[in-house]
This record gives sequence, C-alpha cells and structure tokens, in this order.
Amino acid sequence: MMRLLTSLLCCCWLSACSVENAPLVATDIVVTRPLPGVRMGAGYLSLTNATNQRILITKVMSPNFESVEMHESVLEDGISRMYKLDEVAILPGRTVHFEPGGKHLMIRYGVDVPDVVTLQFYAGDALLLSVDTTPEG
Amino acid sequence: MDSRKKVIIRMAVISIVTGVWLSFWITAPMPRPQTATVLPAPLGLAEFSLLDQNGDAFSRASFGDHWNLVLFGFTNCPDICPLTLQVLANARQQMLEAGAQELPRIVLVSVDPERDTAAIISQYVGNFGAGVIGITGELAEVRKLTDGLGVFFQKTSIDDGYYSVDHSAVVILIDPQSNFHALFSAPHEVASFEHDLPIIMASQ
Repeated sequence: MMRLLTSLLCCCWLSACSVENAPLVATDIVVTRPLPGVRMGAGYLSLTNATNQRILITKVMSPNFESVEMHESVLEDGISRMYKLDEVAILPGRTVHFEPGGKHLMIRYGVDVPDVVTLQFYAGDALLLSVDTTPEG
Repeated sequence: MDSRKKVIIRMAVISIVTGVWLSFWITAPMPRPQTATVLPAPLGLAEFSLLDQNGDAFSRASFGDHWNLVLFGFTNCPDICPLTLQVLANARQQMLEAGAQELPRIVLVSVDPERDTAAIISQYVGNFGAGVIGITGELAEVRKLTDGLGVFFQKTSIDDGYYSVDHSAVVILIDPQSNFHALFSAPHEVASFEHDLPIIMASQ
C-alpha cells in the first residue's frame, strides 16, 4: 500500500513538472560550456515559485554531468569566496536568480560536452522541475 | 596715434590674452582616476620565479616594458574568475577601439598552482583574446609575489571531490618598471578601467 501511495505521489510531482501549473517556473536559462582545458561550467537561471507555499530546493541533478551543485560567489572584505549551498528557499510568488557573481550552478562536465543538457530541481526526493537547454559559449 | 603706441597696445593685448589663456590652462582640473587607488610612490616587488603560459620563466623583471593589469584566480573557478577576466579583456578592447597608443597586458596569476599547470593556463587564457597571459608555478613562489602585493588566497574544501580557493578580488596595476603602481578594488566594471587606465598610464 505504501509503495502504491509513493508511486502515486511521484506521478503527481512528475506530472506537475510538465504541465502549466508546475510549482517552479524557470526563465533566462544559460549553461556555459567549459572553457578549453577545464571541466567546470556554470549554470544561470531565474526560478519562480508558482505555488502558495515555500519551496526548498535541496539538490540539482543532471544525467549529462558528473555533478551539479548550487554555489554562491560572495565578495567579503575584498575577498572573493565561493560557498556550496545545501538548499535554496523560494517564497510563494517570489523569484530567485542564479546569476554571474552570485548564486549559480557549478557544473562538472564529463569528457564530452552534450548538445542538449537537462537540469532537474528537487525538494528532497521529489522532482519539482526538469528543463532542457543548450550549452553556450 | 603713432606707430610706437600701436606696437605697445598690440603687445599689451597679446600679453593679456596669453595671460588669461595660461591661467585657464594652469588652473583647469586635470583628469584624475575615479576608481583606482594610485600609490603615493610605486612599490618595488619581491623577486620570484614562476612560469608563463608557454612554460617560459617569468620573474619580477618580466613585468617590465608593459603596463600590467594583474588579477588572481584559478581555472576551476566557474563563475567569478572568467567574469573578471572578461571585464578586463573588454576594457582592453574598448581602449583599443578608442585609439589608445598603449594597451595594458592582462596577467592572470593562478592561486591554484596545484591544478593549474602552464599547459592548462595556456588553454584557459587563450579564451580571452590578445594581450592576456597567465602565470603559475610553485606555491612558495606564487606567495612571494602575492605577499608583496598584500594579496590573500587560501584553499577551501567544498566537498570530497572539489576544493575552491578564496582569493583577493583586487586587480593590481604593475608599471613598466615592475613596480606596484595602483589597484582597483572589486566589484569591477569595464568603464572604470576604460576611464582610469589612460590617465594613469599617461602620468608616467
């Protein structure tokens, strides 16, 4: 019974990702190609919480990369630092921007750079949003 | 009016006009840097021994004969380092298009020499156009350069498979005599370099 309930819940989340009333809406998506000689790229986008509840993004995954992590670049007393973010909260109706010099996705590419990449945003084990884009640069 | 009087009047008029013009010229405000902090007296650098992107020796003297915009970063930095490098490259390009007689050389100093070999640096700086070089080498030698410039950097663990390097975001201007001449504090904008560099470079 529990397995059935879990499956149903997952189906609800997944269906929510592909319909107009998805909990998260992504815009201005940019994924940078790694510069020659390195395997690191960055991801930038704006995420809007389209629900009336707080959303907590706890991980970002992709079948195309070795890893994707949420990071934040900050300037503290003239020192540039980068922190890993374990979670990013988005209040109802609000937008969080992943942008150069601020929050961003740190992407570790494998050997090849795919033509199309998929980014999946999760709250715990629940998939909130899946977006496809083309690496730039 | 006799001719002698005419000459005297002409000379008086010329003197007055010249005097007025000179007073305007002398008292007119000289253009000054708006963002950069110029050191009261350029500061000599310590000796160090590093490698450039071609694997050739790069020492204190290698800064000579160029104005050098020096930034600190590492190639595994996906966000702020390429952003800063691009700002400097864009500023250099703007100066070129404005017809500048002299252009600064952009020098990336790796604060992650453990991963940044000369070959990796070479590929990396090649993405930012002409006039951009990179230097790397033994950590102790990098420290000789950065300590003399008051530049901080420190390795920090992000997770098991990756480390980052916290580092000063300052951009330092080293003059053709290999002296620490001025600095630009972050955040960096193309317009700041475009405005200030020609003024500072013309001052020598």
